Amino acid sequence: MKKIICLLTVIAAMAAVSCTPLDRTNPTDPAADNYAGMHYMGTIGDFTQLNDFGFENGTMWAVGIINTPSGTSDAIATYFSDGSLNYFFTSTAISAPTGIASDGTYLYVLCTDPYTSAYNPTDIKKFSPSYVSDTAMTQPPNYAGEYRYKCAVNAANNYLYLSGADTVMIFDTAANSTVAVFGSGGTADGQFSAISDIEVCPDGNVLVADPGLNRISIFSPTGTYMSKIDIPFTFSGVGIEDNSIYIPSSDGIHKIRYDTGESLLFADYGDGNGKVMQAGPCEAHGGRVYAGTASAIKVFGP
Amino acid sequence: MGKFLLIFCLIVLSVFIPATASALEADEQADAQQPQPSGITELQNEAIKQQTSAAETQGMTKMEKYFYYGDKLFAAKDYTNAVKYYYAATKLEPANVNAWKKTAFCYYQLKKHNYAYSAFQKVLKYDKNDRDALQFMDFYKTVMETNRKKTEKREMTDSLWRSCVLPGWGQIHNNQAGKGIIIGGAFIASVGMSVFNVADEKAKYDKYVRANENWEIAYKEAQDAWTGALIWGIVGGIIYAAGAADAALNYDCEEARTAFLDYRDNALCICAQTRW
Repeated sequence: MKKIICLLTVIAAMAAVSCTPLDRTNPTDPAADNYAGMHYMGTIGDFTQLNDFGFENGTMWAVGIINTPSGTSDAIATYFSDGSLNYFFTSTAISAPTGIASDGTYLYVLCTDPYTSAYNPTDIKKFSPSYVSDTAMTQPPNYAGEYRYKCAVNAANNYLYLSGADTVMIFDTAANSTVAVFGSGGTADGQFSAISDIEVCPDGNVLVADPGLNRISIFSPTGTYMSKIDIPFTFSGVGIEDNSIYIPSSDGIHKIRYDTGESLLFADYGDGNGKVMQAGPCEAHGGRVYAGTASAIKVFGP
Repeated sequence: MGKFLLIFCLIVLSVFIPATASALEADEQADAQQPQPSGITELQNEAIKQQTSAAETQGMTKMEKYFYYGDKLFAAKDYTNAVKYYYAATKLEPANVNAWKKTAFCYYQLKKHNYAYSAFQKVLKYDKNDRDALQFMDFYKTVMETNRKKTEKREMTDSLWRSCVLPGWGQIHNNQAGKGIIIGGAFIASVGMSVFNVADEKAKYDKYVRANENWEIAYKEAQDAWTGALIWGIVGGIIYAAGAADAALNYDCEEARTAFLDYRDNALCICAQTRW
């Protein structure tokens, strides 16, 4: 009897020990006590050069030099929700794509083939997302002599914002005409040095990222200067959702609330893929943050 | 005057001769710790007389005759009388190794081991390399060690502290060497496994803390190593405690009272007996 009691005691002690957990103290671990609030969820895409990406009704579209099963070429690609490649399109109609945006009905792709026209070097390819083909409607921006690299759409007023080096064109997709051009080269408020990205806020205002001046300028939907946010680090693309701006940089992703100024840094910790170490294109969508690197898109979520 | 001198000499002799004889006898006893064989001044044993013709011993010295008769009696397994002749031979020639050896073996056969032991000591005194004597001395040392073990005073704390210092040592002190080696080996192995798992857990936990993806896998690996370290630690602790308790409880066990027998020497001893 004593031996049985001793044996049971030992087994109980071992069971208790086996159930003793280690502390979970990893800020990127969602189950940790010190969880930072955002964590790495995975990677989307396989690119030789990722230029831009965006969402159309929850579906991700990306443009750039894409590695496909048939080779590497300029292409438009879309992905399943698990990050795997769904569909890609390559054509002479898609030449040097640099920007992509959607108003929920159409995709707008900027193609900056310098051989197209020295006078009109940027084409806007307009696609129905359900039918991306060579028959895309081409809408030439009526602005001579300047490349347009990035674009953003305000579905409420059909405005397509096209950013160049130091100006922004407002293009009415419904009227197929240029509405206005705002900005100019310079350092004063409302002026630009080297625009890298452009986004439309939920309230319709337009954010213009300018790493050359280390700031993000905020304009009204019609291009009136409103305010600016100083960004004291090297950056390129920005993403926006729910009054928060997400900015990838060499030291992680900065989250800045542009209404309160509150800031948070994540994707800045540890060893592995869940670390962002360079500026690049960025989107925020559905509570998740997508940060583009040269070869893939890293996904972070709460 | 002549009568006076004669009487004086007789008185002196009557006092001096017995005194000398007594002194010699006492010296012999003290020297060899032997009982004096009595009555071996002449060939008085009737059995020997019947077995031996005068022609057989013709030309022998007195010591050779003693040896001859001793051997006859030894062959007839009459060790009681044989030892008298052999011992008488040692008196005639104290440095005769064979005489002492045969004396010792007679006593061994008579189970008078304290006398046999003393006689073998005499053998070794004159020939320290005598193989037979050495073998028998080993045997006697074993017997004495056994007796010492049986009667020595044993303390529980002696076994306990040894087991506390090094698990298994207490068992070895209790002459339970096999158990001691197993307990000591198991304890060292469990401690080794625990140390290995602690180091492994540290490396894996550091890896988890630095991970920014696949946390569950990294955490589970660290947790498994941690659990392993704790379990091996508990196993080591149980072995340690059980070993100490066992050593304390068996401090006066049967094995603890048993001397280690040197079977090699014992076997040689048996060979010697057979040869003799």
